[in-house]
Amino acid sequence: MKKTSSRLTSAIAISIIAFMTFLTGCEYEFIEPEYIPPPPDVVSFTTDIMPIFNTSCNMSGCHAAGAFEPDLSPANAYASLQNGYINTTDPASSLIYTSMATGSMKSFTTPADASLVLGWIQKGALNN
Amino acid sequence: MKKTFNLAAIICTVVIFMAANVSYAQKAGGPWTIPAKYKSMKSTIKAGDPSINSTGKELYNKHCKSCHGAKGLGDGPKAANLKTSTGDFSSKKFQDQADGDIYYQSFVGRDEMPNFEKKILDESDRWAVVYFMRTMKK
Amino acid sequence: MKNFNLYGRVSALAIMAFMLSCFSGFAQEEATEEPAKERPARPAFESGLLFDGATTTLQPSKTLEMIIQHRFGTMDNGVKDLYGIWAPSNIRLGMNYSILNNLMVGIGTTKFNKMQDIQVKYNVLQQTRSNKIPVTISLYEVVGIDGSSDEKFGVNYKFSNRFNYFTQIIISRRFNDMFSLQIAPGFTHYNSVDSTLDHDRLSFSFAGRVKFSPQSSLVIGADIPLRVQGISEHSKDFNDTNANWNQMLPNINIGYEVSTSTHAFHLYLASGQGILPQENIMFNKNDFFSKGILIGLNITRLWNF
Repeated sequence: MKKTSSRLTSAIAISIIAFMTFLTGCEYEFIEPEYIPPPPDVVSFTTDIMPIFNTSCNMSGCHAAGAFEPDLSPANAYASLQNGYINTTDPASSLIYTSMATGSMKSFTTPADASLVLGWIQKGALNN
Repeated sequence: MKKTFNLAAIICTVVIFMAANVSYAQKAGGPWTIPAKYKSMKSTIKAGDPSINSTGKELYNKHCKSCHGAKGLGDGPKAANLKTSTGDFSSKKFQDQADGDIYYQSFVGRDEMPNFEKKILDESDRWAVVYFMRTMKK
Repeated sequence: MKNFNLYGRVSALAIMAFMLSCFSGFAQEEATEEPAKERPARPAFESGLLFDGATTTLQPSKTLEMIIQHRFGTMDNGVKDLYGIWAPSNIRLGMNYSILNNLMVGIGTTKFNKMQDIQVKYNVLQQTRSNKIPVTISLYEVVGIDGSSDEKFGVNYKFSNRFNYFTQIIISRRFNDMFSLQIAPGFTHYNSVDSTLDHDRLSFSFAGRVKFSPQSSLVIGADIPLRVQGISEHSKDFNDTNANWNQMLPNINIGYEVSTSTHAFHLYLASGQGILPQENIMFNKNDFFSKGILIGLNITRLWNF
């Protein structure tokens, strides 16, 4: 009968969703951040920092040329960062580091990336 | 050579532009085949029911006005895009039809006239729309 | 605290039992052959979607609804980013399908946190025109799956860390053709959170609309996260100094709705950029009354099969 089968379909649909919820729900895990090693003695802009920008930052619609500031495309990254994103006297307050570590860009990078950028700034933010 | 080419390009553009803008005359839809069940259908609301000018009007404005126009003259903004003429609800020909005929044409529809049975679920609301269309008589 | 494992399961069971028992209640009503007396009232809201959350409105069975939700950036940078229109924005694409007249399922994908979601909405009780049943009550569940990289969840990553849940009971009433109101208590749960946060949060939402023409309405709503020390996993002293606890900011929305036969459009000012209800309730940091306003835009389209 139509009424019975529609009740059955509903009951099955709801049970499936509830069952899925039970299987994966009700966890109470806390995030344990991974251990981040200190940066190496020499942090090179081209071999250590640019790959981070290429993987996580300068795709179309984000920090590519012509999109959001700073322009982190390979040709312009170093020059763009000079416009107020780096603070060599107080590296930890550099805007490029704070937005990656705890700020609005946190969800796009990893803590290891942020630590490497901080290490680069601490060693003078050279174009090496 | 260059001048001739430019002239040819301009003429082609103008011809294509004009062809694209020819409005094809709309055809009036043919006569409807109304099933017996709808021919003998009776309204669930009475003639002067207050819902006609409130609910009926509101539902007409929401679902019908864009093609059929505010006064049912078939001049709604979307009417020009249709191949079939949207008719004239103020005409004697339309108003002389039985209630059930108008009900069938409005809610079951055919071809470019969509089915509205799932948009307006309540029986009395549908009759309110039908009777609202009757107030458009000239 | 392990108590809430039990709490969650018991409440889910209670909801299931409630839904199934109301089901049989409904079947009895249909069987008594008095449909003419109890006509369902017209829906309280024109669309099943309002701002970031759901209303009690469900489309008739075999209806497919396509949804695009867009939130621009906050307006606090002024003209520099055209009041948020040029700033980083969030967007969700979703599809809802009504299996039955009172049951809808949906899926969607959101840009921020690459969140995928599955939604279920079930109409428990329908308001009737004779006012015998004065309100419409729906159950709404959103299961979110965070698509961010594994590192976001720390060293003990498991796939189930990605899940988050939002459960809401929505109660609405259509007062008259012009005015409808809805209230909705809700419960949010995230499987994996930062160590300074709680996993669970209670919330209270409300929404209202004033319909001033057959197709246009003024709509207003808010999702308010509640500070309930009783379900917090941290001590009161810790919470008092914790910004996440002190500054739970509501998501406030006010705007304009246009609904036609097949579409609904919402254009409004909001403060939450998360789109999914659980994201706004857990993580909203924008204060509507202090430079935290952004423009939101929703478009829905219906197909009847």
